[in-house]
Amino acid sequence: MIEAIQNFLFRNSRLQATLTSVGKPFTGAIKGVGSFVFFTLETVQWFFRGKFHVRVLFREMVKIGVNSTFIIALVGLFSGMVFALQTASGFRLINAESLVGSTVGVALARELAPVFTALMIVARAGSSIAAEIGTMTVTEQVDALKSMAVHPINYLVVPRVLATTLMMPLLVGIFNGLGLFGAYIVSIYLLEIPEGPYMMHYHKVMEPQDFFQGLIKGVVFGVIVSLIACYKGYHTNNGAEGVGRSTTQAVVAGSVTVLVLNYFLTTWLLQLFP
Amino acid sequence: MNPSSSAVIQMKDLRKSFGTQKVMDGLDLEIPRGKITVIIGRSGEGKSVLLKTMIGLIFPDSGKVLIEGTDMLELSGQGQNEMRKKFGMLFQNAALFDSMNVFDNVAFPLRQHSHLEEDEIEVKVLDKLAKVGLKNVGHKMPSELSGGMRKRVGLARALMLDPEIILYDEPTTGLDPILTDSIDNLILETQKSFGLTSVIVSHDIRSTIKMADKIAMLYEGRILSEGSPESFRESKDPRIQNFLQGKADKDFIG
Ligand SMILES: Nc1ncnc2c1ncn2[C@@H]1O[C@H](COP(=O)(O)OP(=O)(O)OP(=O)(O)O)[C@@H](O)[C@H]1O
Ligand SMILES: [Mg+2]
Repeated sequence: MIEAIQNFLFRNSRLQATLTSVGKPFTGAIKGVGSFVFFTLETVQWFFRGKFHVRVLFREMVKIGVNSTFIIALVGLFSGMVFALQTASGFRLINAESLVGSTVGVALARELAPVFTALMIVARAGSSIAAEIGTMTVTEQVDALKSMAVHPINYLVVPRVLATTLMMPLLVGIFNGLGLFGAYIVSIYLLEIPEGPYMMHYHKVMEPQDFFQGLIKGVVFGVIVSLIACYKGYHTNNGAEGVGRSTTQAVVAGSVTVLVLNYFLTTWLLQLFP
Repeated sequence: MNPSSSAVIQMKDLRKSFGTQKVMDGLDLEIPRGKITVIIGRSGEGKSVLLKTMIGLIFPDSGKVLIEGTDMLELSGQGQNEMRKKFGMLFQNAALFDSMNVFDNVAFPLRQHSHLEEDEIEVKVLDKLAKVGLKNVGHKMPSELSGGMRKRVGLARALMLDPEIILYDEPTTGLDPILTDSIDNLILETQKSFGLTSVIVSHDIRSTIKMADKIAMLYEGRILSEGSPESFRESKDPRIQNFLQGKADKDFIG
């Protein structure tokens, strides 16, 4: 259906000209979304029917996941620490400091860990994916792949999307763990909140589904962020400048998508786990 | 025998524009099986675009590209991918994978499409590299090579799977005269021993006349003339003669 619309828009140049005069950004956006959806469908198709490139997958998992571990841990630690400071200063007013652990815990698990991890991955992996595939496109390396009957979506895109998707929940978990640790350290040792009630409230409030929600978000963000980066790279033209533009677009579009999508995911997950 | 069965690639009424620039304008061309076809034409005339159209890297705005009777343009992405297994292509800029060393570049098609063990792959790769006059460069990255070396690595990679149809985009441009001759010989030799179909884009008139079974000259988006080297040499068309003799038009400054 969407493919049909997209084809129609591509083929029917007179309609396009008319629409263009109505509003270029508008048709641009429709065309953009249409071709992104088409790209996604193609990726799914190659995932199921194409050759499985295990080596590339592992290399990308290391590049995207393992090499991001430290930075994610660091950001997680400080996010937990600062969040503990802020909530404690609020709860102190009503003498409910022992609720800091559970509050930070829920916020981390459901929102902060998946969103911040996704944003870090956009900045770190999304940009490099877009730049790498973009450079390969403008230097005809993508054409060379095709000429050797290796489809670039199968060889370049599928492993990167898969690697990001597999690594995201792990990274979210690491962010979460370090965040909780940071909050604990700040609360117990710096703010001297009594450990007993802190932990008691934490265990009473936190449920496995809180973590589960974060992991689901992580998976969804992983898919979308890597697809956007691959798409932007794949549709690069105009040489070095084009690669720069694709990279920027991958980061901007990726971050915005994460933040907007997060709202809708939260809405959906709150209905799913009332 | 009907004429179409002797043609491996048939292009019919191809039209292609980039923006307002018409690159192909009703182009018809047949590539005969088992022969060397050389495409000549001015720089920027659309020779590389034509080669890429044959293998489905560029899609014309209209027209047909038949590969052994199958319309490339009507195939799905996967169908086109299958079809490209028949082809090998040397790109004008070699298009080596810059994240891989020379050895891995040349081994790439084998690793993708054969089930050979690494030691068998090594033998084949070193053999092909030696054929294009390269020794002890396997560990080098493409960025560490000269232009001519890169081209030869690209050639070794294109020949790796012994494809049925090979497209060479200026295989000898940028090589010294001695290398040019040995690459020409390599192309001829590969041709003879495997009975391949070769399409060569070339600016080298001397080797074109020497090697071609058929020459096709591209001019303003169409095939101006096609035929044997003799027919080209004897042609009365001033556009062809000027091109063969390398004479600039009077109004051409440069
Ligand atoms: N991707 C593209 N986008 C826009 N224009 C293009 C593209 N590819 C080629 N062209 C244009 O098409 C024309 C033909 O290009 P092509 O590369 O086929 O020339 P050529 O005959 O191979 O020249 P040369 O002998 O210099 O290699 C050129 O004018 C070029 O500007
Ligand atoms: Mg060219």
